[in-house]
Amino acid sequence: MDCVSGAEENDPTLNQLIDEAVEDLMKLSDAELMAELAEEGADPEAEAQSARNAIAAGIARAGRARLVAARTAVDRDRTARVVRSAVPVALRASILERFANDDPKLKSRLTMAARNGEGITEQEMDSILADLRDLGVIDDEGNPIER
Amino acid sequence: MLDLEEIRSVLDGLTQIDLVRLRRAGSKFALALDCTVDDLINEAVFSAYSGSRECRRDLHILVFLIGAMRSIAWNAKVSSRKAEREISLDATGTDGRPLVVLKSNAPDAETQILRAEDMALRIAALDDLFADDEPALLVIMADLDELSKEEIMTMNEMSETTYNSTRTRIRRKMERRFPNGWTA
Repeated sequence: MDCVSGAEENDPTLNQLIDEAVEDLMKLSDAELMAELAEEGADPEAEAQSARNAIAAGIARAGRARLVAARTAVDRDRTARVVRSAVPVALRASILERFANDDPKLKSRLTMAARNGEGITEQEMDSILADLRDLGVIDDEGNPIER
Repeated sequence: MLDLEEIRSVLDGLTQIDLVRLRRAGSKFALALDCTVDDLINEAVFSAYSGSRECRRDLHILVFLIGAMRSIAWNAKVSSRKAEREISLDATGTDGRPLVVLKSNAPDAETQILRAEDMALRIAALDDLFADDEPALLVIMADLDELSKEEIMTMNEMSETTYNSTRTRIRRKMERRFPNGWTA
């Protein structure tokens, strides 16, 4: 449906004619309008039913639009907070070691932590693993993804 | 403002004669558009039901919907004209600074011709419709020139009663000739 195109610049001239006609219609009482319909031999129920159908179509369209918006919001939310099953601690350490060999920065971070006897915190491990997942280097279980 | 449930409820409460009035008012606004009256009603309900237009509690839903249809019909042109005044910041000058370039001041010649032809067709259809009713034709022509009620009455030496009855005649004939708007 395209309601947004019309006679464009010419329309200010049609506006007055249309406004006046609508005003004339709105001045009528219900009884007067019914009398006009009867005089014309018009079918008020057929006209009313067309309007009912158009209203129902508008409601259904708005419902679908809300559903699409809700679905988009859920998808966005899901992408923002992906719930992943935890990778076991031993496996996490081996994954990090494997990648540390190719990443001097990560290697020095792990070495430093080991030297200080602190080890790397679980939170740090999770953060690094999340980065690797986001980069598409490992899957959700921590397995390397072949490229 | 009415919430969604209340809007649904008042829409369900529209009587047969309310619905006839809604459709007949919509058919007139659809005369200025390229869609049918039912598309326009659909659009007005969509705007209320999707929350883009809010209906005040003290306003009858019929009046609200007629106002929404009018607004959709008139604003379609305004937004179209606004789009023509948009500026582009894509271009950069020799100093690397963005240049403000008007995308377009006016519709292109082809669009102008098509619009003029479209309007001419609508006016010709009204001319034909009222060819045998000179007072109605004079009022319509005066409307096209946006003359006031007083100016129309003075110019055509019309009493208020004649003016009002001419308006009613114009409306009823338009309703019979264009029951679904211009395109249908």
